[in-house]
Amino acid sequence: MAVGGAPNTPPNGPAPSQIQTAPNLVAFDPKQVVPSQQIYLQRNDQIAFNILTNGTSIAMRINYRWLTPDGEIKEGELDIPFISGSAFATLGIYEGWLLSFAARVTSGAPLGQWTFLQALITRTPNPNQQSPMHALFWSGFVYSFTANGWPGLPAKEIADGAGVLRSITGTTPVAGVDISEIVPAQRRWILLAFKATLTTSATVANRTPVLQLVDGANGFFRGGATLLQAASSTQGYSAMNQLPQTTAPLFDIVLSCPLPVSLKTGLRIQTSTNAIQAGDQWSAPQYTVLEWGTWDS
Amino acid sequence: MPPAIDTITATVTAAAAGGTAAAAVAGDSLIVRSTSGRVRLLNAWIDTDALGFVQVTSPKLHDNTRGLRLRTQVHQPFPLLPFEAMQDLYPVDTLALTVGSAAGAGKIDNTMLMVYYDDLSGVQQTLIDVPTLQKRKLETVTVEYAPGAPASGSTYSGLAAINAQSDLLKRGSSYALVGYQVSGNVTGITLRGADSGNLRIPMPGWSPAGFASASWFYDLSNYFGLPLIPVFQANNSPAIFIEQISNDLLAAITASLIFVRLG
Repeated sequence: MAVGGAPNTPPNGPAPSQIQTAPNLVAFDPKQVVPSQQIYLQRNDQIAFNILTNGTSIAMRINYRWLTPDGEIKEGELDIPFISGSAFATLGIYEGWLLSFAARVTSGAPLGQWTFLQALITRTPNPNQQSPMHALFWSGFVYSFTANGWPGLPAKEIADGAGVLRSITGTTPVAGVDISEIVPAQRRWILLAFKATLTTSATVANRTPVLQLVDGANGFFRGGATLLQAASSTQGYSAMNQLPQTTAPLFDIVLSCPLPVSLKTGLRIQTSTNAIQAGDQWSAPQYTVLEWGTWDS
Repeated sequence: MPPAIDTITATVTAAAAGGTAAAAVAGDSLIVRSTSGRVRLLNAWIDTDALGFVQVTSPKLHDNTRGLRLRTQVHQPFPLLPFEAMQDLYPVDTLALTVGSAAGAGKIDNTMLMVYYDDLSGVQQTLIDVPTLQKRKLETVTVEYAPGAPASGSTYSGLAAINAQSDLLKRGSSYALVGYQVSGNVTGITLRGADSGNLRIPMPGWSPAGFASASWFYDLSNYFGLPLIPVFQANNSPAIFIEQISNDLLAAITASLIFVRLG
């Protein structure tokens, strides 16, 4: 005979299910056993990420784990969208030991894109390059199709490694003006190759292009073509370590240049064409470089 | 041990489908207030322009990856969480609020969080529970709110004193705010004054839910077992202010606040 209780509740109905939450089998008191990770964060500590990339509107995702003072391992995710050039982002874990983080670029990687990440500790909620930083505990390149992070590979400086091979299409100048390419801010290049085409107007004159490297004010290298280009002709030019040409070329005319040559921010790769005419047109500047980031210009 | 209800409103313009961080509106902060007592997230709602999600995370929630991530409906700011305090917040913890929307340029997505502090030093709100209301209720009176079109979709606007439309509250009496009606969808309306410690008491601006909004605070108090019915003194009427968080539509809405005079 049923007694008491509403229908389908004890003692008339089945007993409630047993809760089966299983706590971690390993537990310790942080006061007694200090976790092996040395990065303990207080409530007002922030992990700051300083990012530098040659990409545009890239997105980075950072997944991380930390150990709370209660002995619980928790996980978190930080999405940093729309990074062009440089950016800062922060995360806090309230209080505990950072166990790991893994970062990846989630927006795909156009050819020649690189992204460098520094992981720092700060107490500034929205830091910038001038904010006080209390530690740098990891830095390295972050990739699109796999993760990098801490702990893991040894930290790298931004100029470490093989560099990123980039093929860059330069800016076509207006008619009658020479090519001038500049190394962007926070970049370090090794110029590997250079090619461009000059189409001369009908104005009669012999043009003699020169490839020059300029620091913004002063040139520090000038390598000229050893063959002339007449009016109303189209001729390719390529930079090369080579002795002067003495006969008409089958393909490009050589512009002498001590390749490979290291270049830093602000330095320019230029042509300087002797006897250039108003109707002459440089076109299709194309060059390859090995590229790294650099913090200081 | 003064308890307090508080509001955190966060806004984002032109949120991405994958999520964009929302920032607290002027006057609010995503950092939970400092207290030695318990802090509870009572509920949350969002007024958004496109299907997407709203996500509240913090290192102190279950995880800092998704935390509370809820799918949304377009311009439907109904309470998203269960009527039971199942998520505590933690003093000085910084909440990360992310909205995924993709409604486009200029589109504003607003999220309101309703927070309850067991003990907030320096703030003295008058809050009662349902049994107290039942013992002291005398009669019901409504207060009109008709501020016209709001000036902004992403800040508290439409400020109007509680006696702006009609000054009928009997001086010397206390009035319990049990619910409200709103004429059209708006992120939310709030009420603040000396009796709320100048913290905003939030109400979701979901107009189809008139049957629920009529007893919003009554139901909250009933479900949570907490004193969640705010009481205001008629003497303070000129300095009790109704405000709203609109949306990018900037529609002019009207509202009725349902008060019960207490004996």
